[in-house]
Amino acid sequence: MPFRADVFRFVYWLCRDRALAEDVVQETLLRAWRSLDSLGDEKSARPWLLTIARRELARVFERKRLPVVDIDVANEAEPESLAINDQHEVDEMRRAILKLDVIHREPLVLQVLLGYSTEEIARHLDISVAAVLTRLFRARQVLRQQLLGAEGSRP
Amino acid sequence: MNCEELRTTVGAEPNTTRPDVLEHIAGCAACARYRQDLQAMDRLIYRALAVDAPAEKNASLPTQKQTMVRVWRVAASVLITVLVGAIALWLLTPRESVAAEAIAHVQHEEFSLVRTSETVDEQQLEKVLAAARLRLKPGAARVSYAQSCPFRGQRVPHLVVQTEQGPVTALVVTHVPTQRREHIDEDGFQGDIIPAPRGVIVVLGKNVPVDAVANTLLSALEY
Repeated sequence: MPFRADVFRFVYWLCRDRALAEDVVQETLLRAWRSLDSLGDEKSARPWLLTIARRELARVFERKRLPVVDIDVANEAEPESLAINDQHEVDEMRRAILKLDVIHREPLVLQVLLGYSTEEIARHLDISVAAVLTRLFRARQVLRQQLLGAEGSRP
Repeated sequence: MNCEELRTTVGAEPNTTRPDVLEHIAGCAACARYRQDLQAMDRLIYRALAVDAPAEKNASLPTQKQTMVRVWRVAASVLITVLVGAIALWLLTPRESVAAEAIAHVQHEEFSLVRTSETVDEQQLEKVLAAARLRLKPGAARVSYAQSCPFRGQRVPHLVVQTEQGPVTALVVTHVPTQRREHIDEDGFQGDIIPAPRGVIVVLGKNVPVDAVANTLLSALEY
């Protein structure tokens, strides 16, 4: 299934819960399959899937009050599944991203991981381009501060 | 564009190629380095974000392959049901013995049981035997009648062999289980069911010894 990994990563970085992300991806694909007619252009399949995934995740959050995810647990509970390599820098960056507010994390994921332009992010989040730029700037600023802090605290 | 404006812009889009950004960093080493740092951080962010996605489960979208698998499963169940039904029907249906069926068939074609000096065309004989994957050694028997006849759901060679004592009918039945030799004496017919390499040979006559014909066929028929 094309874009499956993209959808999973997008959902994972929104909810920070691997099991929940997998469930949401399954539901997303199912919903997408049922409403395949609404996909006009094949090229827009990925944003279309991400939009469905985003709605589905929101639906899950609405349906039940999910337990708060402990960031440290989220990062360390599944070291194997999260580990693309064992570099300390990547690990620290992951921790820092997990700590970001979702309003900063989501545009960052869309931009860096999924290659969305600022205009596309604005459409996806239904906010202005200026707001997207502000959130992206803020996200990087926080990450930079956290990493510099981590570096400073490293023995 | 001053340094602060540039840092705000590349802070949101480190890879932007806006002309005013490129123009500024061309003349400002500090901002160029700042942009490079952010681009390096973006590479790290990308590596951090690219977590392993789980392997695709079978329970995802109904792909064409899965649909085909389902179709084949349904087809297989239907086939098995039909087969089981057919076998049950076959087992439950009372069946005549091979002997009784053979006699009934010979009675149906009794016109073939005549004394004659004429024999069938060799090609005709070969054709009838070949249909059952059989061959008869040339000149082994004087065959006056050769037809491929329906018998127990298949076509079998029905031969009439002329002997000094009279005509003998032979049904070469290859699709039934082989069995021990069995003597037949019913409805005015005498004969034997003889075990053969494949199935049996039924030899029948009316007051005519059949042993010689049975032995000839057993030795001259090639299975």
